[in-house]
Amino acid sequence: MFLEAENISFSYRTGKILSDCSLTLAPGKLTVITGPNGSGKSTLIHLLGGLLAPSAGEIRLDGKKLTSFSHIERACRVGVLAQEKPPALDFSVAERIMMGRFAHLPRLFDPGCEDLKTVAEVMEFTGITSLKDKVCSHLSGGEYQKVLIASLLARKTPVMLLDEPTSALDPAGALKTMEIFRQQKENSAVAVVTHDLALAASFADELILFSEGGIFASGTPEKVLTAENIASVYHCKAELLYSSTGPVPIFR
Amino acid sequence: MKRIFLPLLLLAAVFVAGIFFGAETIALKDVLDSPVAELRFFRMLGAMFIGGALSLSGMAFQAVLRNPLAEPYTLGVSAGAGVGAAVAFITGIHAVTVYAVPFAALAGALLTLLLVLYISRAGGGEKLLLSGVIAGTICSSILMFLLSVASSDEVAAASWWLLGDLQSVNEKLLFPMIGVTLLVLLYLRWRAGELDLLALGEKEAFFLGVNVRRMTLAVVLCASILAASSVALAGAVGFCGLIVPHAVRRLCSSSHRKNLFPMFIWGAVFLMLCDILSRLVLPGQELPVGVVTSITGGPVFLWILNRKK
Repeated sequence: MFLEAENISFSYRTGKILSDCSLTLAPGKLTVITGPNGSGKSTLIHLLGGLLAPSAGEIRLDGKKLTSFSHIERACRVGVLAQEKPPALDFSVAERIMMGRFAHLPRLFDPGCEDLKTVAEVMEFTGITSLKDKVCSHLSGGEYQKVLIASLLARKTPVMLLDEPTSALDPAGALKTMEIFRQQKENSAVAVVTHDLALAASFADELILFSEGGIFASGTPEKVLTAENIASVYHCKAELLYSSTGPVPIFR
Repeated sequence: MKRIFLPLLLLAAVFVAGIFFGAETIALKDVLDSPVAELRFFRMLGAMFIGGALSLSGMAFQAVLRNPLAEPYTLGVSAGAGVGAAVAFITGIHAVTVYAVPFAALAGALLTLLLVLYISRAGGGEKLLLSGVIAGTICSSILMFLLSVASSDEVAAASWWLLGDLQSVNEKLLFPMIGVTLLVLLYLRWRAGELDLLALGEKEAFFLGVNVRRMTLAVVLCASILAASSVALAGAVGFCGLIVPHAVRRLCSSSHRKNLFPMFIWGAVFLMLCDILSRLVLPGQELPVGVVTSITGGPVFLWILNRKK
């Protein structure tokens, strides 16, 4: 399933945040979006997830306008991991992950065997089985982020959009999370927003570098992560070290 | 089944106890012929559905406003109802028909609710909450003004009603209220999944497939109708809608798929027990049930908060 944005723009009351952005998310490709704070990365995720409507341009899912899908139809196809605080009510980890399957659950009956099996599998996969009965608000930031990742995986959507999924994780956790989504790209179109340029370089099939107002550069990490591009976008100097996984910028 | 079956047994036991015990105890052999038993039957029926309705209402408000301190009267429903009831007492129309106070209270509650919804129409849960608090404060001020210009008899009658009183539950109004409560109960159970997601946040609920605006409005309306119909029948019974949802979440689950029916049952049990206590605490005298719910509810709530730590 393809998710395409064609020449989309978006403005908040305070001013234009995105201008004339085009991109295509496709299965088999892990797209990583990076750029400075306030450059419009989260806004792009909200637009691609249908939460915001572009002021110009169009977003299409498999050739059909995203707005033509009902709420449930959209949720079955496009999964979004947004930046989220633990809920005010005391939901357990297993309950929170099960909520990810809302679009698949029967209304009046308890979740079925397949739902329970899926939730158990994603907890095992993300290494949080031991937390399943804990209350979400009692978890650390990193643990709760793993819960959100598990909840997204439980949805099994053909498009996955992740807004800073590794921001609260330690380096090993961040690496494991990116590995998980590298595996997911076989069946799903995956886009990840991150500030970690080393991770971006290691995992991106396509790297999109944002600057204020839109896409500054896109392509392979080697093409995008150059000293000139980084200086232009982040307004600071960077030296590039080349590892086996790609270029790693060292900021000075 | 266990989470419903055991509370149902308790509900039945408390209901029966409420018929037998009070200022005078009714003997088993007299129960079918006793007019007092008949009055207590309707009173317990009222306590059951008002307790259940207030608990459901509090639960729904806490979920949709994502605020554990929200309660049925958060959007100013009780203060609005209070103004309506006070007008009925002061103008003397309460003496014309027994329906005057309930209908005036219902009108006050619904008018306040409509005003709050209108003011907050373009905002999210936060604006709704703030609009409700402000509307409630304004209504409370109007109520104070009305009570300050009323005669002492009118003040006494209005105060008794404002504290929450199950003695004056009108049988003819009780059955429509039961019907409304059951309909809302079934609707909320049908929408329990969405209620869970709304409790996560508006953005999260949207991404998981909820029409957030429509569902928020539907849940707020359902919760307010439950609160308004309860207030119209028995006055502003406090604390039930605040502490029962917290207690049930601890006893059962925070998932509304699992806790909706237990929420109703435990709310009913709580108010019926408080009603029985209100008849037994002082010999020869009854307390307004709202006083008992607040006196017992306060320490229980603090205990729950303390246990959570």
